[in-house]
Amino acid sequence: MAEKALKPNLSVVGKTQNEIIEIKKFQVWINENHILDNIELKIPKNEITCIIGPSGSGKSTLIRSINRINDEVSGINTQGEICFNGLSINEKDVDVAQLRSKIGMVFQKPCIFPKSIKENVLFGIQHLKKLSKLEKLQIAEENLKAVSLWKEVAHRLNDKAISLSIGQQQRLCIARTLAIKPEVILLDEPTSSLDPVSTRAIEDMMVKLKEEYTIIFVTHNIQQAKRIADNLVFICDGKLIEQGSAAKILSCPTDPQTKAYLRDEYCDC
Amino acid sequence: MNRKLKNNLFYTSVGVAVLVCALILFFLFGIIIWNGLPAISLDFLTNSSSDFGATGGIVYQIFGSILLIVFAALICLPIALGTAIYKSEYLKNETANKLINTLIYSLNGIPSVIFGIFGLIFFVNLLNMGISWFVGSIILSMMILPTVTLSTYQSINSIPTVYRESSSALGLNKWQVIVQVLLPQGFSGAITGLLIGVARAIGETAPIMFIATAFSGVKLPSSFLEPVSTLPTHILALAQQATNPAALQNAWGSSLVLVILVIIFSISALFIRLRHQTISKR
Repeated sequence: MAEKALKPNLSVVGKTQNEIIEIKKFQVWINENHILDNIELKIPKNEITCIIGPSGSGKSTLIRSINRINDEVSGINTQGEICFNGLSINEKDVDVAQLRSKIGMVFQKPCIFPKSIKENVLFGIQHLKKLSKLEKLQIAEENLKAVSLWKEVAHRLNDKAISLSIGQQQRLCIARTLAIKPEVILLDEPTSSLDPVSTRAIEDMMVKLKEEYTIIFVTHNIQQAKRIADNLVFICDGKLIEQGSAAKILSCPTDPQTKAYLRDEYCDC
Repeated sequence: MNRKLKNNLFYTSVGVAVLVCALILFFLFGIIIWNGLPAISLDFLTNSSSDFGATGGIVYQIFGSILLIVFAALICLPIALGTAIYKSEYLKNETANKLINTLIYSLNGIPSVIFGIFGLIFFVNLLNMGISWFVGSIILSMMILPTVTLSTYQSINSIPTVYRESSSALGLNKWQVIVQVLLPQGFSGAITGLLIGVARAIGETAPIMFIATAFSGVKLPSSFLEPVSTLPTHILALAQQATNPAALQNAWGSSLVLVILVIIFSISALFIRLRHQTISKR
């Protein structure tokens, strides 16, 4: 029932709004511990929005709330609203599985299923719809090309995915997410365990992918945000301190906390 | 006492403990092999028993034991899987989880004879099922349920959360995550627990002697509601004729076959666990 209710809204409302996600007075807490406090945020379509902030500031909690993966955490409570294409995702009757197929997510460490490279790419999509053999191969090729992995693995699609390097595994995870054709991709520090070359490959890929997808990217690395972000969101201690165009915030932040954070980050570099 | 001496003393103590344990095991195996091996022959393994088991073979006893544990495993596995999945994936209430754990451990601690008495009162008398191998399988499945459930639960629960989250983030429903991700990875734990449980159950006498077995004159059962003869009850019957050297010889031979079956199940469980650990490390 929820699926029927969600689908028309996703397509109809989505075409009429520039912001694909809108977060209104959103709060998250576990027991007495407040993690996010009164977050107000709009995420524009087909742009890269980077969320920055110190460790434990609530960045990951925020993006994990956007696809409701936090629902699985016991004891977590939320208040406020997150709208995706104008529709509240926090209603009880929302089909969470369908929502997650529209808002894909890539985690900090690559999570590879004990299957072949091809099966990993197809893992999500083949549970969402029936595919012929030819379609499977086409989807695998298309998405591995999208993450610039095709040339490296084309000759060994049936090899165990675990045989790939960590950087390749992370790109495979992104390909797996792209295969389900989401509208938004959430990336929770996807390059934190990668070497500079793999990091750069993923950054370049993100810049290309934003033509088709809306990307929300959590990072600790200010330089990385500078390289890829169109918009920047600074979160500190569960509060949204500043948001706006990346160029503007990085060159002349208005809030003293943002200034201090950016200054410290640059000093660390 | 200095630290080095304490360290050596501790090392020696645990070494002695291992040695004592191994000696007991080898002593038991040695006696069983020494006395049982002369009785083992192709005829002994393939012929039926006669003269109340004192002569002849043990083919129907082997068949009866395997029949009981195969059906016990078939009855137990889905219940154990269901309980383990519910505990691991659905039951978020910590108190309820602890309560279920306590119940499972309590079930594990019940003496096997109590299971036999329960089977006799409930299945044989109350439900009027009579003495049948199927009732024996049900009772044995109840006995091994805690072992299989806990092993499966530990196996599923040890799967890193990121697998659950990664598959959920791809749009899989809860049941798809369970079927596609958790069960394939947790299944080896269930099978290991099952084999350990079966290795225990195949040697049990008390729970089945009142409800599932006849001590002699039984061949292949033609229905679910007939008794079988099993190795443990056969050994018990022969031990009661200990003054007869032929019966004693057959008892040792039957014991050796039973021990071999237990070892086969235990080694299979170990093999599956090691294989799964190797795959997980890859």
